[in-house]
Amino acid sequence: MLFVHGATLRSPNGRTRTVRAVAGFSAYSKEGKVSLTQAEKIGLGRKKNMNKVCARIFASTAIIGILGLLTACAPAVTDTDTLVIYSGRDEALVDPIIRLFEEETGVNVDVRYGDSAELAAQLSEEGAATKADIFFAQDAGALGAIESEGLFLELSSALLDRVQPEYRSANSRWIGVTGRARVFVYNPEMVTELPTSVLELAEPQWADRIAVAPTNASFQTFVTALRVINGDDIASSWLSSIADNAQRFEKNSQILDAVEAGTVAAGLINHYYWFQREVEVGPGNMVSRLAAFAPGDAGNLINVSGVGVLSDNPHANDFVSFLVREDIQRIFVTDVMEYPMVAGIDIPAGLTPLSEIPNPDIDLANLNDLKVTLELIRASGMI
Amino acid sequence: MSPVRPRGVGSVLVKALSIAVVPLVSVPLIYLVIRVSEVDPGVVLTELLSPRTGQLVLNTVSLVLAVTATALTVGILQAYAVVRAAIPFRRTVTILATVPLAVPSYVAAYGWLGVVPGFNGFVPAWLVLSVATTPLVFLTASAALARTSRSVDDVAQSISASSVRRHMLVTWPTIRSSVWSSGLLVALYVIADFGAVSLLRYDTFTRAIFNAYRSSFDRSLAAILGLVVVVLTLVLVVLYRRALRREQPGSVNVVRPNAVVLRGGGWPHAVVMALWTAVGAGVPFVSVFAWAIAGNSGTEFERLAQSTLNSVGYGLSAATVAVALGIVIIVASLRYRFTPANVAESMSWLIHALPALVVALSFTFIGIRLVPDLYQTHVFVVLGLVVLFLPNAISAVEPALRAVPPAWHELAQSLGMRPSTEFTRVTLPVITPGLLAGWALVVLVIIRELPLTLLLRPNGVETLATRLWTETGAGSFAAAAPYAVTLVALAGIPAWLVSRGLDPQRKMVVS
Repeated sequence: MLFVHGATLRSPNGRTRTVRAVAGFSAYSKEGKVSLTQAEKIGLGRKKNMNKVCARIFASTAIIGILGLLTACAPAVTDTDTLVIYSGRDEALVDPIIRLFEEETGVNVDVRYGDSAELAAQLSEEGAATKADIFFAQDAGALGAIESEGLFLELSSALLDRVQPEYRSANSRWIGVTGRARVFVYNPEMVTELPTSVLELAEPQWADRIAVAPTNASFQTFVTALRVINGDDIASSWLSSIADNAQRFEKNSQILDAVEAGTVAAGLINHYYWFQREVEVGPGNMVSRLAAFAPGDAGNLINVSGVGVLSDNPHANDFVSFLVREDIQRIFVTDVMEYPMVAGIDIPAGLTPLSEIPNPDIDLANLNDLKVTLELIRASGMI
Repeated sequence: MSPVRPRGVGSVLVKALSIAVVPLVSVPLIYLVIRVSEVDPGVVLTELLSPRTGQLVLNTVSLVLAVTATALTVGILQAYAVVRAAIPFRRTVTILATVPLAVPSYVAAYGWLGVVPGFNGFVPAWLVLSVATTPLVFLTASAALARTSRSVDDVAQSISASSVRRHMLVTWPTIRSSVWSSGLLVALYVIADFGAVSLLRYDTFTRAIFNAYRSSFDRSLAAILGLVVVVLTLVLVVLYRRALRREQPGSVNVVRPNAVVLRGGGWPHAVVMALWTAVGAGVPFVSVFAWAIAGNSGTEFERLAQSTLNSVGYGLSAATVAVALGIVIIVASLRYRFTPANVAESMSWLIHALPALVVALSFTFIGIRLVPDLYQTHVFVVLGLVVLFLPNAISAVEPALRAVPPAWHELAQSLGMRPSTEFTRVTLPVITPGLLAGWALVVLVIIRELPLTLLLRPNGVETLATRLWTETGAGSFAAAAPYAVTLVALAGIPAWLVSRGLDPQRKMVVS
């Protein structure tokens, strides 16, 4: 037995109430009969108001939502005066440069910022249907992945020639925009004899004196280079010794902090962390020093950020040549202390010229397969 | 609910909509099958039988079991203390129990790492995820406990001396279906979570799938692992559906049982519950506020406001659609025994366990080919969020709808009500409080969502979560802090609404 919405009830105090909802209840009494115990009026006082408020929000959202859906369904306007860029590089760095490009050319640029690897995954899924015209990636691995998906168009030789052959795709599909070097950072009070090879760091005298960031993409790319140059066996035994020797950090900047503070003797980082820090603390105020290993050592790896073209939008090529123009290259050097990819650009004092870094001779696009690298690092117990 | 013969426009609409949901929720599965079928079967087999896959199964299953068991135990005890017992500062304790909801698991993990360096592995992952998921159990369990009827409880008390037996007889059956559904929700949350396990360096399937994409650009490996996740989840969903099939329709409570008097006046319970929240949510909170205080980089207020607006917009619209679809599916399934609705429901659970990155990539793959004009628009983001969080909506709607006694439908029909009239005049008023609580909960989980929004958003559109991710990714914790604080504060509003709405001792609640 029950009361239905809208029924009128007389309560014990004689007042008439309207039941706002079905709220009858049947229970077993001791005699085993089913009897009606009570009908409850819900929606009293504050409760009622709360529900009403919530319900109103709910209803108005539904209406706004439907209107929004209808208006948003209007097809997006695509025109060649808009350039769509997928950028795996930081907004803080790229945005000012894109503003410059917009001012100069009048082209409207639409940027999608994200992680290089995730953008690469997204581009791979979008395939040829992608709306992106340009992929600007943080490292050569991501560019290599898109190249092997066959999504990049061939670049003109005028563009390719701006950059040295070792910092561009072997198949003319992308070019490097900036470079960064792996370096050995050390505290001169704690390290007197510099290692000639990164392999030496696996030896017992480095126990607890070397810092690495095993989850960092730059470290992983370096390990891939180590595998390419020295073979998987050497890389694997190096990793397991390093796992014993090393203090582990999440980020390059933390390694630099520790070396500066003297809590660890030395570490493996990217060069620009040191130079950016020098700008912060002032020249001459750095405790730590940088060093390179012997020529050709995997520890001297130079990785690049680079750019490739995904569509025949005429502005895409304009943007690529803009990035390797001298004044823009100079901005990259002064703002983030990365290496220019174009000849004839001055670099800040103290930065070893790229041509003088004895970096290993490998095809950077080969560094896109990190699967085995990750397995080795994982087997070493570092991640 | 007893099956009824479908009549009228309402039933046609309900059925049509539930059929429409099926292709939507099958997008990720179709994608996985396409990707796996591109791979040589021998490679698939090697990958499946590799020791690494075995290790991942072991890691994932043990974390799922540990977290689900903890969340269920703690959540139910919290709900019991708040709903059925007399404890001091009950309102405060209720709100405290829901607070961890406002802290996304990646923020919690960051917070912990800021305070305890070297906080990684199984135990930290278990702790962070248990704290994050307990409120899901607490909320559904307290809603269900509020339905325990006093008279039935009295009868049970009169025939049985042992309180354990009484709870088995009366309390357990009332909360059983809610416990199963929130347990499933917790288990799937753990399987799909990326933020916490990656920051705390514990290898689960989701972390391995992310790594396959990020480090080796290996889509096939990711897809193979994704299918393993689907199979594991299928086992859970089948178990869940079996448990639920035996479920009797519930009753509607009118007078709740007398408050249980606890030892020590309930103080020990209140203190323990406060401690759980203090440890679980307090540590990350302190960490985040420390960033905020340390931060001197000027926040661009306009940007903060815009991303807040976007988060709220996505949250409100996607939650509304998800709850509406949830009602449609459950009505079609319970009232009309409509098979496609069951299929849609089960598939939405399966998808919920997949890493959001996989769901997002599947929508990318299918979306840009089938509906290029819609791809990377707000509508598309909302669509993706609806698919991802349909189970959250369903788990809120289902217990509410199940609680409507079938006799009422029969009576309404015998009075000549049309099903649509009956829904608006009988069912809807009864389920409204449960629905609104569920809706607020879905708004909240959507506001916290990161990977899917990141991939499907229109170019240049930012939410609080994506800003937070960008800033922490760039290492600028200070710049991230305003976003973290706004996110936590914003997520606190629905959490507070839910805790208010579910506070059953405040007023008589029929739900």
